[in-house]
Amino acid sequence: MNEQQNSSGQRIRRINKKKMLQRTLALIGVAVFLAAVFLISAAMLILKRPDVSEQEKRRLAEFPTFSFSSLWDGSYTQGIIRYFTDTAPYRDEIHDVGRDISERAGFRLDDVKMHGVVEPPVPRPPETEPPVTEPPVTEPPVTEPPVTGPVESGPAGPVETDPPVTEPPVTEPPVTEPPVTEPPVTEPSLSEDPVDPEEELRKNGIIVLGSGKNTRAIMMYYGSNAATAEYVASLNRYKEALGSGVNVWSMIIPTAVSYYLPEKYQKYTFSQKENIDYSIPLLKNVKNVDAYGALLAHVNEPIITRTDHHWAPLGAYYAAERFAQDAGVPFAPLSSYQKVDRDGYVGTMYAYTGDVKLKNNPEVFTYYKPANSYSTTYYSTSFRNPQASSLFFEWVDISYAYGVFLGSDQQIAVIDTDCKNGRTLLVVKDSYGNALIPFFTGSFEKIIVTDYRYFDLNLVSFCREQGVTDLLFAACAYSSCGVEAGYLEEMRTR
Amino acid sequence: MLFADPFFLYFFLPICTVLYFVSKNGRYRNAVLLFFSLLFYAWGDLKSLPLLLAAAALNFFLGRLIAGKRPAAAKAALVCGILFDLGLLVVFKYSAFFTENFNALTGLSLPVPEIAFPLGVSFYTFRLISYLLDVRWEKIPPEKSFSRFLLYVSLFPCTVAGPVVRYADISEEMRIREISVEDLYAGVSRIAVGLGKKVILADLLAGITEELFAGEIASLSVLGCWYGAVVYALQMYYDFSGYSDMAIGIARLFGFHFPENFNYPFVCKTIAEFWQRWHITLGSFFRDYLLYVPIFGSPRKYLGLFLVWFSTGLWHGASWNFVIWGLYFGLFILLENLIGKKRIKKIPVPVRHLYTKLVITVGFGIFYFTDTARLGAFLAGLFGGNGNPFFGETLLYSLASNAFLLAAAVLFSLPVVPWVKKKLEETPGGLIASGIFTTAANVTLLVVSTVLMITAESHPFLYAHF
Repeated sequence: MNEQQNSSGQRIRRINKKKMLQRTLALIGVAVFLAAVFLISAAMLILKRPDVSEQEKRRLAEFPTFSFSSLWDGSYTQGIIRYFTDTAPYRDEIHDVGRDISERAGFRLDDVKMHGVVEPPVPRPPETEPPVTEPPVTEPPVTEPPVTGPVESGPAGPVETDPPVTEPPVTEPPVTEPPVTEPPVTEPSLSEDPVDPEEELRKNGIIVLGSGKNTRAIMMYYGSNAATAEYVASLNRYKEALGSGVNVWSMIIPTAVSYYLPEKYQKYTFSQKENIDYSIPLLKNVKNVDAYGALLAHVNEPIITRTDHHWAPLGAYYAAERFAQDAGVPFAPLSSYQKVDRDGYVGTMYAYTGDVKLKNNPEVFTYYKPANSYSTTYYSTSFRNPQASSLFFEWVDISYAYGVFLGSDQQIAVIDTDCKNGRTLLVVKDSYGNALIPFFTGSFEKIIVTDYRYFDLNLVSFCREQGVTDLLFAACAYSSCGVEAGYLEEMRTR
Repeated sequence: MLFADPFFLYFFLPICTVLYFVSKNGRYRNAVLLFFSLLFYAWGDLKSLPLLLAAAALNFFLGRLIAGKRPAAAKAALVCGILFDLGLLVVFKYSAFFTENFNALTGLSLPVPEIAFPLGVSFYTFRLISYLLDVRWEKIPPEKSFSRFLLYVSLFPCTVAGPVVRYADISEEMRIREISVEDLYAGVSRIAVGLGKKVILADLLAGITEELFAGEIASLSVLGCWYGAVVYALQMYYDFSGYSDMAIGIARLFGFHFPENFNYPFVCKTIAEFWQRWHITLGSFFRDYLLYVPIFGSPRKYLGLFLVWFSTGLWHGASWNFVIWGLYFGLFILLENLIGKKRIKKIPVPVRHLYTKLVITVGFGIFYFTDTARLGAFLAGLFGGNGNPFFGETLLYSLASNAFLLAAAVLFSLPVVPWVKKKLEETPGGLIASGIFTTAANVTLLVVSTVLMITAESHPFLYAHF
């Protein structure tokens, strides 16, 4: 009996002891968790909140302004939630950690990670005109042009996505000295309405491959011969309208996908070379500038950025050199330029993919400043409000390094140079064209630069008014063989 | 406002919790909860708050009438209440869908109403209906305090996306709540686990689903279609069960014991069992209030079954794919009924697992595609109907770059953690180890989830759309 009582007592004691232990552990667990919550809460409330994300190249959400209508429609309360998260203290650093965590979801096969790349089983619709059979000037690195791929009505390319960098420069009086002496005029402006990276990926897909300093992001390409034909037709109409007094040039700028995508992955993209070749015989009195061939000869040099969707200034130099040769204008050798290196550049491909390999392997962004004298004036997109400023926006943050040229696309730039050859060049471009401009300062007396997306006048009349002798259309293949023709026609006919 | 949102976790919830625990007075605590519940709702959808208040007031009043002594008035009140509550769903959720289909059938072009979807209407109407019916069937007495009834209707842990908590589940706790340290521990643990399920697993899985399904579906390989559907099924599980865990955990902090909503559904061996483990409170709502309603007469079994699964599908969204999805599951449950439990049990377990996983996988594929053309392409793609290869190389890269995530997603969808925990806690040393591990895991989940919440674009809980 006593033994039974003892045993029962021991069991009760054991149970009580276990309950006590459980309670103590629960107490510690609750205390630690709540401490963590309140610590993070305090950090969220006390620490300084950033207003700009260097990483995403945009201004962060602002605390919403109160109004009864915004309260009623929910935009005020949603705005507060967005502000709270978007401007979290150390948010860029936290993003880096977050992407590191996401990277640990798996491993890389063949040092490759695909972001939004789709299988290519959809047969390309038949072209309305037969493909050009003229042999290319240089051999493409792509051994087999893809026979299948996403539908023709596919994506816009990265041309729509270059990071807005600056407001048009303001307030400085006209200057005639070389820009090296010019003070910075404006701070770069940041996008209020950033490109949705997921949307960009969904459109094109990006492959990140290689390791270390060989890491490179390559965006797939889905341009079409049909869109290319429309682009060429528009250029032909410009030539027809402008007559023999104006040389009209077409420079379709290839991107990394034309040079650095291993053969194994060629099936996921269309061929830029094929579209460029298709354009050449359709040009009527419009001259082709073979940027593709010019770059192909230098593929082992840093001609295209590894972490950004743009080409590198060195690539632009070789394409500009080819154009100068074709146009019969002088061209300064690379050695005559002042070389400027900016280390630690991580471009837009990181924002698009969040791929930590890009973040961990920044590149050196090298640009070249001409030695001759010139002055730069910026105008609004309707060619009003002239403001003198610098050709180079050297004060931009390293994260906007490509924005060093002209600062922004949303303006018209006029560069007067000391090259007194009577030639006036009008460059109609997307953001890729910006990198060409410094290399023309020794080749043309006057250079006018406008972006085809941001020009409010009739381009033909504008050419006549400005006494343009050479009209160069210079945009990446995503634009020229994609969406550009519509813009060009609007500029021609408005 | 989402549970998996820094603003909620680090601003709203801490303030609400601190104010709640300032006093032990039950009325004060209810007042705090009611205030924060209405604030939570208004923060998400101020425009619809009057509707919620009106629905609560009307159902409160009708509930009193139903419990009254005049049978005719009680019956009329019940009919009025159910018609009103269902009417809310019909008007706000289905009017555009019905009009579009009516136009398509008749060739008319009646204007399609553009009515904003009130936050949580799918959930609170069901909770109101269950209240009225339970009062009518004398399972519960009618609530006498409007503020308490309003708290039941608007209680923020379950208003927006469930669980479908019935009045009977929490009527006692609306009055008296004892909150122990164990309750708090269980609460914070569920919050951490739910948050991790949603932010770490569901949202990362969502990235894979989007890559596969958001683009040109007709280009996916056969295995790619199956892979996408499996990933989406896992994503849905972690998304919704994560929300339910958080809801249960938050409620537990305030002393409420919500019913469980998920019980490892992927371990099921029949489709009927799957639905006993998936969205349990919704399934039991349909079972208790629709399947056995005595309006179908003797052949009610099949008619009731059809109605339940038609309704289950339609409840999830005003789109035909949801209806197909519901009926699809209903069809398999009907087949299982016809075969009979005894015969099914004779089928080898691996075969039963294979059967259920295939049915579930295809089911969630159907669930994903609201566009019927894309749904058709997906279904064709599953069986090679799009002329695509069986295997695409991108699948290999996706599997590799998400290998650990997928492994974790599969592992935690099985009852591994409870099993390990149970084994571990058999000894005092194991109990301490389990406690330390749980606490460390909770904090780790909180911190990692916070980092990912700030990193990622907002991913709303999928069930908040329904």
